[in-house]
Amino acid sequence: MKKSGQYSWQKWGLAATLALSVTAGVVGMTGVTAQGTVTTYGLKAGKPYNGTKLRFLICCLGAGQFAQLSKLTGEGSEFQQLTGISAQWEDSPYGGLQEKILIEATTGTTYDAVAWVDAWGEAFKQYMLPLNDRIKADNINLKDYPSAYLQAASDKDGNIVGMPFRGHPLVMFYRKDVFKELKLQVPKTWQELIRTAGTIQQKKPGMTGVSMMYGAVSGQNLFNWTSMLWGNGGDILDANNRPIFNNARGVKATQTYIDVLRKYKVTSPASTTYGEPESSTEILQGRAAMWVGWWWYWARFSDPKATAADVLGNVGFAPAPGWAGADKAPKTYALVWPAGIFKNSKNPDAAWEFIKYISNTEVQKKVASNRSDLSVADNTIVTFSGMRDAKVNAANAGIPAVGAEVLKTARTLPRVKTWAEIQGVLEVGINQMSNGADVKVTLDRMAKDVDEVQKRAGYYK
Amino acid sequence: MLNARLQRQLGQGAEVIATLLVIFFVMFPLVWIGLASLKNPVDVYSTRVFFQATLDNYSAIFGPRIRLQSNIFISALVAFLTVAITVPVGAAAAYVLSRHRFRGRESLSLLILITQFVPAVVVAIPYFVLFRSLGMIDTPIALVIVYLSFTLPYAIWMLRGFFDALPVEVEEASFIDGCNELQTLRYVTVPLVMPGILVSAVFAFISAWNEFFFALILTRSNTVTLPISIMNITGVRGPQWEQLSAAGMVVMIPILVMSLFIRKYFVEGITVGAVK
Amino acid sequence: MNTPQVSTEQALKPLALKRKPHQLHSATLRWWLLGPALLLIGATVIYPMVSSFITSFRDWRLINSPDPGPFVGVQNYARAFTDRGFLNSLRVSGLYTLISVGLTLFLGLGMALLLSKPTKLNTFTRALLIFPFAVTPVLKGFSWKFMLNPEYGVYAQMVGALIPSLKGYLWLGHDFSALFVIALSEVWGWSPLFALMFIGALGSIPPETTEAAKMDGATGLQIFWKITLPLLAPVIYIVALLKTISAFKMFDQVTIMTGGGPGDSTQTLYYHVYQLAFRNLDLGYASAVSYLLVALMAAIAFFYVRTLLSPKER
Repeated sequence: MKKSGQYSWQKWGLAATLALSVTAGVVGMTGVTAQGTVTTYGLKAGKPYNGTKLRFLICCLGAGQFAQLSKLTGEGSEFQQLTGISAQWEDSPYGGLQEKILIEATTGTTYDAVAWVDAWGEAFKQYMLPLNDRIKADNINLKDYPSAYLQAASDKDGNIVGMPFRGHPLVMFYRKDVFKELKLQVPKTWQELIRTAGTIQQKKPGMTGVSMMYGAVSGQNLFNWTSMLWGNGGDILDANNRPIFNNARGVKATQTYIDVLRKYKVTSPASTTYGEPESSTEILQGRAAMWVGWWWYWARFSDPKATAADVLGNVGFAPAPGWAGADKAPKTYALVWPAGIFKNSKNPDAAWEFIKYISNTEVQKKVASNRSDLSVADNTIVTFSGMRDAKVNAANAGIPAVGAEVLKTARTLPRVKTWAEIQGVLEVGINQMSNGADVKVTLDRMAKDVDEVQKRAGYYK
Repeated sequence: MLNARLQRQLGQGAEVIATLLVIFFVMFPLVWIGLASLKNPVDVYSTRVFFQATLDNYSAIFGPRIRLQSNIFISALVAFLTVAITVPVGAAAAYVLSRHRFRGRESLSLLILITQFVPAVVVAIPYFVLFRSLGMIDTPIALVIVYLSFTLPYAIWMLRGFFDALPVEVEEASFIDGCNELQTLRYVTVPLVMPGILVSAVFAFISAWNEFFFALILTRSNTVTLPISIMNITGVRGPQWEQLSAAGMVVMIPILVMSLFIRKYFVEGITVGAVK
Repeated sequence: MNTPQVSTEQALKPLALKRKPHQLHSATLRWWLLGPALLLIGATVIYPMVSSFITSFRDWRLINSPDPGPFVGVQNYARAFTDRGFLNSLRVSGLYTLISVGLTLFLGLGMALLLSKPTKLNTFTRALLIFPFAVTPVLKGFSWKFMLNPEYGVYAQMVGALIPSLKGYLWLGHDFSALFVIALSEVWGWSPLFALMFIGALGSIPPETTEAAKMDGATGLQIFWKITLPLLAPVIYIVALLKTISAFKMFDQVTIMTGGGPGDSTQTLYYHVYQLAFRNLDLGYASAVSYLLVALMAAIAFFYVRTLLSPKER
């Protein structure tokens, strides 16, 4: 026991050294970018909100970008030196975050600012401060943001209620070494992907072709489903917000989505219980050859501490697959985290300074190109100019530029205030189909449920 | 004859084996969590029983990222406040319901018994709405108020049993000696039901300490109690079992010690009405 | 168990005394002592119950407005009976209650019979029986989820070693097994406690009864069915009611272990109401559904209270 105690102290020493070196790294970066000033980041000069402590409701500080940004805005940070404001990032788990935000938005007084995932926002946009005037006053160039991001961050009247500060195109990750060994082409459509996955599974025993996630966890089983649905020209809701995902195109796309697991069996049978963490771990640990997921995982796949040795450096990326025979460019789901200010906040002006800082391209570039500590490295960046920045691309093997291309045509989930309820219906139904429920029958039933939700909410009679 | 003895011995052997199985069933999950809390992240994903033990997980949960100590403080504060209100208020009411004869006594007792069956979800929404308008969400007081809704009726009902079981003669003797009711209560009755008071205190403590549903709804960041904080120990790969187990041990051990302490009354305590 | 029994008998005792002590009890003091409790119970139980009863007749959705909307009569209640989600949760909770109550009784009884003899090993084992009950439900959920993980779960591997066809089985990935595992995590807590209660009750069966039956040539099984079980019946009845009530309140482990899945196969009533209120933000409807739960609980509580209060049942 004593020995292990010593051992753990040594480890602590190591951790402390690491932490120090991270700080040193960040400070170093700052130094390189000529020590940001209020002008570089478009912040107010003269520290008008000196001493303000903000509370920011967010999740997943394990994500590199959040880890870095929270350091850059916390106590003793660059942001605090410039503005006198510090922000405390509330690290709540992703599961349950949606409920927490909904409750907090409609009722809370604990937090000043919040970040949410696109589709959640419609339900509480009325509780958020419109930012248009502030954006105009500070000359923020909205054209630099993907339109899917801005759409997701606006209410139905076009008021922007959140600044995108983290966003992801869907990309396909694949094992370069496996593809090279088996002389495989990178699939461009889901249909090709399924065939390729079958080949891999045949020739590489112990490895599944593609990692999927069908578990009903915070809507994560919708990510790939929407890609297929939209790829085949289907949609979740029509222009009048009626469910149409059970039409012929929807059924076909959904059938394909389920067939990956049940008919072609090119994914782990356990994926019926997987969310994003389990699903990404499959490729991280070398158990799967492909995975379609958010681009930020690229940085995770290059972290030696998180990745199995034979996987490290062997994960390639390509735009998420489209649909065979589709005439248009693939439309995939672009997930975005807008950060907004609660109407209840007592510090809206300080919160705006904070949001400006974390969504600022210069700050984002600094974070995205910082690979001094691989455990918090993260290629995520939200503006086009950032995605095309040479330095950012050099640090991240060019994935930002690929993401920019995907984002040009990407779209967002339907913006309806009933989304949480609809998402519940969809994720449960998808999970049931992955467990063997008939696709057409289940989709029809789900559509009926969603129809009732929409009628109740007054979208139509 | 020999056959019968053999049979009996075999029977005894089977009984011992079955008993060992019971011990396994009861204790194994606790032991396994204990072991997992000493494992490093690699060993925790295996069923290894022998491994290089480490205290890293314990230092991690008290480290800067998880800071379980603040959750322990909140949980303890809420539980102590709940007990501090539940026990005296409950004991006073239980005494009256046990000793005084007045109209409505039985219906009052019944009402108190029934309130224990009220599902938490029914009271959750009004509380939520109320605390929201009072700006009391995410305060320890809000949790204490809600916890009283189940600890108090329960304590009254349980303590009433203890008062009932106490012979009246003792109090009569005190009255004869010229003590008034309050003096009798203070110097005679209460000391005699002390075990019951302790038991009800422990039960109230445990139910507040373990409570999850209300804590999920009514806490945000300042008053996150232990059950919620355990849930938050997740990483990019899902639950971090080794740290979660360490936190679990910290949550579990005080209440296991407490239940050991009131072992004799445990069964009674539950049956008397604890529906929680 | 014994306490309420004593209570009525003790309560009757003073009548036999010459001096009636309650005449010395001060009515003023009575209300001073009772007042705080009544006030607190009124504020923490009665008020919210009334409030949510009123809400259950309103249209109140936070996605529309933070303020309560108009009264809509019994619309919320009517909706519940055609709502697949609610009916499903009713079915899930019913099935869950059956499984968990049945298993708890069965295992509890088994353990009690096994441990009723006061040997050293048994006394030691009995002392351990109180532990699982006090374990935080959240932790019960996590530990069972951890131990039944198909890849690295110790229980999953043990089962896989015993029954090869269950190797790598997704315990939380199938409708029935997920509900069963949630029940197991709860049975683990409750059945040892039941065993303790049964051991207490078994102790009150006079040994002569069973001895006499043995002399008459009754087998162990016959003794159990004809003597032990009937004598235990009242205790079994009351603990089964208690467990039923607690089973209908299942929430914690569902949240931790399955989140209601796979599909909606473990969405218990509590979990469903939670989602209605705090995910769909439909406070009116959630209140109505929770009142349906109250009605259900009231029916069970009725039997419980009747048994607890009427002397002849004991």
